[in-house]
Amino acid sequence: MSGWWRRGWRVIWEREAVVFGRWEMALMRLLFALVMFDAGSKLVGWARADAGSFNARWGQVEVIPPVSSFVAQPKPHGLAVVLEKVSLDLAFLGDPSMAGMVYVGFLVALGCYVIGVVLPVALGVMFFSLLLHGTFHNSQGSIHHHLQLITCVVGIQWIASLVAVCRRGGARTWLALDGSSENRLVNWTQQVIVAAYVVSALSKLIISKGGWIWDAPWFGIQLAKAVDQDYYDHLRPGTETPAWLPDWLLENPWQARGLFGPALPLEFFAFLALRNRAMGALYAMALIGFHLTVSSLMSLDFRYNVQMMLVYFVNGPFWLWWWAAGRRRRAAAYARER
Amino acid sequence: MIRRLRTLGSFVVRLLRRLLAHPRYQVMAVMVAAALILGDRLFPFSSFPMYAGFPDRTHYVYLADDEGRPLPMHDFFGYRTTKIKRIYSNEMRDIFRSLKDSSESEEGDEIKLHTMTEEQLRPAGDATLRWLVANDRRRKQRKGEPLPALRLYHVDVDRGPDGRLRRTARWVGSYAGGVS
Repeated sequence: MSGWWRRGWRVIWEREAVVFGRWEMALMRLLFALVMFDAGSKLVGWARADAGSFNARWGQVEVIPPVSSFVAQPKPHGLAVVLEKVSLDLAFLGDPSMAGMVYVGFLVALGCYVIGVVLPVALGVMFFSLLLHGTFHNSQGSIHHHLQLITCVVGIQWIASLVAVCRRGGARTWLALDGSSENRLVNWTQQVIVAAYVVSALSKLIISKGGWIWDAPWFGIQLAKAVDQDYYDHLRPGTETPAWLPDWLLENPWQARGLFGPALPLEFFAFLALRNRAMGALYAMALIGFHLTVSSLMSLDFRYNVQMMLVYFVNGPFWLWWWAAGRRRRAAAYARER
Repeated sequence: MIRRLRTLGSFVVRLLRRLLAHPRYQVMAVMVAAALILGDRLFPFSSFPMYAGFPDRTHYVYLADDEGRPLPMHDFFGYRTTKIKRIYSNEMRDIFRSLKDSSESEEGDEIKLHTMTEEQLRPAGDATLRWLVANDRRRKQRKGEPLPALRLYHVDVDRGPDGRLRRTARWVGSYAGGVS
């Protein structure tokens, strides 16, 4: 038994310089492109027999709308402030023909990305489309957090592809990255995803002055707000939060701390997911569980986080391959023994 | 005390050096530093401040007709109440800042965000409704039908004297209706 424990501990704790196979990285590109289509949520909708919305939204990229619903940028944000100083207004994205052009450009770049050709150009187009769209969205007077991580991931992949071109040079690298460069691209992607959780944990510590877990019972007030807001979207209850939960949290502070407190260390130690494949998969599953719980309680949208975790950390196809290869090895050893 | 702080400081510096020296964590360390420095000022960086602190009170808004009956925000304008609340809160904070500046210079009275009156909040509510009408996502489905008169309500959520949750609604914005 102790041997099993030791082996299990080694599997999840030993540092491993993960080398991804070419097929794995190609599959990751395809799956990440599907994340842009929000394929995961669409499939869940389809499984829940919401075929209407599945059919209507299936072909549409979710991160870049073909037509923007905003007409102006009342409160310029980030890059929009800089562009405004040189008389450039992102409101052109509200013009259907311009939004359509950006959309088509994004689609073409996404196609190249999936095939794995001209990645420095394709990722550049994707990054700037997302950057402009996200900045325009955030220039409406409220900051949103659903596109940040996906834009950072595309941005770091673009930088990784440029680094590969600088290091290796040559038209061949422009056309297609070699294995080690693409491996670095995936590793940097993982680091960016993990960074978002570490930042979130540090923000919690800084803003709450270290008292986040102690203050957790007051989460009841935020929960009540989230439930009410969700109700006013359609005038029907939308979250799965029981009506008694917000008051219960306020009345039972220690239980509230025990229930929500673990979220902070879970986020803070997210960098452990970079230790090796097994740890990455296990940690990602814990974070996915955390996201799904928060989503069902507060109707918050973590769909891209969950899908990116599945693609870059859980990496189901690898484990299937690993299991199948192990079976083949055992069968061959058994045949040799006989 | 100072010695302890120095020890802690050198430990943190050593830890950061080790992290930065290891390629496995370098990009992560740079991203964390950039996000904490830039905060929410430059997309796509963010310090993800949502639910980073738990104040003892909060607020949200809802849409209503001219008799105060709630209307479904998403079905009506195509936006979630959370987004509209953020737009309203930003407007509210702008008004709060200007009120605070003027009260400090003129009377020296202390104004708090949650003690703002309906009259003080009204410009924020009106501006939010104007934004909704201008960026209406359901315009096509309405097929030219004029918008009805609308109201925006601000709801404070806090803990009442009995220790239980308390919600207090206030009328803070109006739209007279018309072509959207």
